[in-house]
Amino acid sequence: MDDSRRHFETTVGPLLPRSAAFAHAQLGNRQDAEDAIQDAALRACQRLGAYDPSRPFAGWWFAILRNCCHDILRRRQRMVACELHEVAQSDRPPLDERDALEQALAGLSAAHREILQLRYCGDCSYRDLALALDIPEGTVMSRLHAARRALAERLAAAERDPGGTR
Amino acid sequence: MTAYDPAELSALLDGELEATRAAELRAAMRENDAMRAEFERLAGLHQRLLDDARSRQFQPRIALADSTASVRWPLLALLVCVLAVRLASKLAPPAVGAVLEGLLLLVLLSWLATRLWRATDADYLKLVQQAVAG
Repeated sequence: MDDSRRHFETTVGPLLPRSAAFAHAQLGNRQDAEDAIQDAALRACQRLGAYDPSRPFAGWWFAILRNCCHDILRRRQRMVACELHEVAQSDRPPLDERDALEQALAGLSAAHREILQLRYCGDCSYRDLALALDIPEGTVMSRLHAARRALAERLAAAERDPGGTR
Repeated sequence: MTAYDPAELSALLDGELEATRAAELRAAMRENDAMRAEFERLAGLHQRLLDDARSRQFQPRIALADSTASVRWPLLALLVCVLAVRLASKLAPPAVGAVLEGLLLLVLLSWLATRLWRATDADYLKLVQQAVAG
């Protein structure tokens, strides 16, 4: 094994549990999350020469992982569309706090949901987020705040109307 | 009263504000009930999201070996074997050539059987999902 790959392993290793949480939040199950991380690891290994060390590694890594998650989502697009349709139709009330949070997150725009998943599951700093999402740091701050407010409003609405009869 | 951008409350929560600005906002919050209530609301949500994210963490099993290499070497070995058998069947008596071809076929079938035996349920599921996704 060459030095660059060993360096890659020691750098990515500590990020793996957070990466798993992010991929799991994006894809909804462990198997797909592992597949996305595996793909991302291979892609990152191949593109290691293109990595600019002056930029945060976590942001670079999560940008690759995010693309791999998107690829998996695209591959199963039809199935996901069916599942979302079923969830929308079921109108089931939240079972517990985690369920309520998941339902509220699912109701956010993709951009808001993704920035929250990267911030919390990926434990990304604003610099990491800017690199992973390819947006300016100022936009990170405003988008993250807007996402939190939108989520808080959804949760408050769900608490007022737990049966989801809106 | 300190003027502030509401998004700064998020940045304060994330520890992303400069120390002087963070101190200014904390001082302003002591005077401004609405600002403090908004910050506390965001802090409650922050904690809830952190707990949820932690509950999703697990150690994924990944292999960092170059997957293309693992495909390339068996293919190269197979090519060399086929060429060797074809050459031997030309140079040696026909019976020897037939035995060598039989042996090659046996090795190929064993390799295929091993690959199928080692494949997990997840591999089959992935194949089915890819087929369904078109």
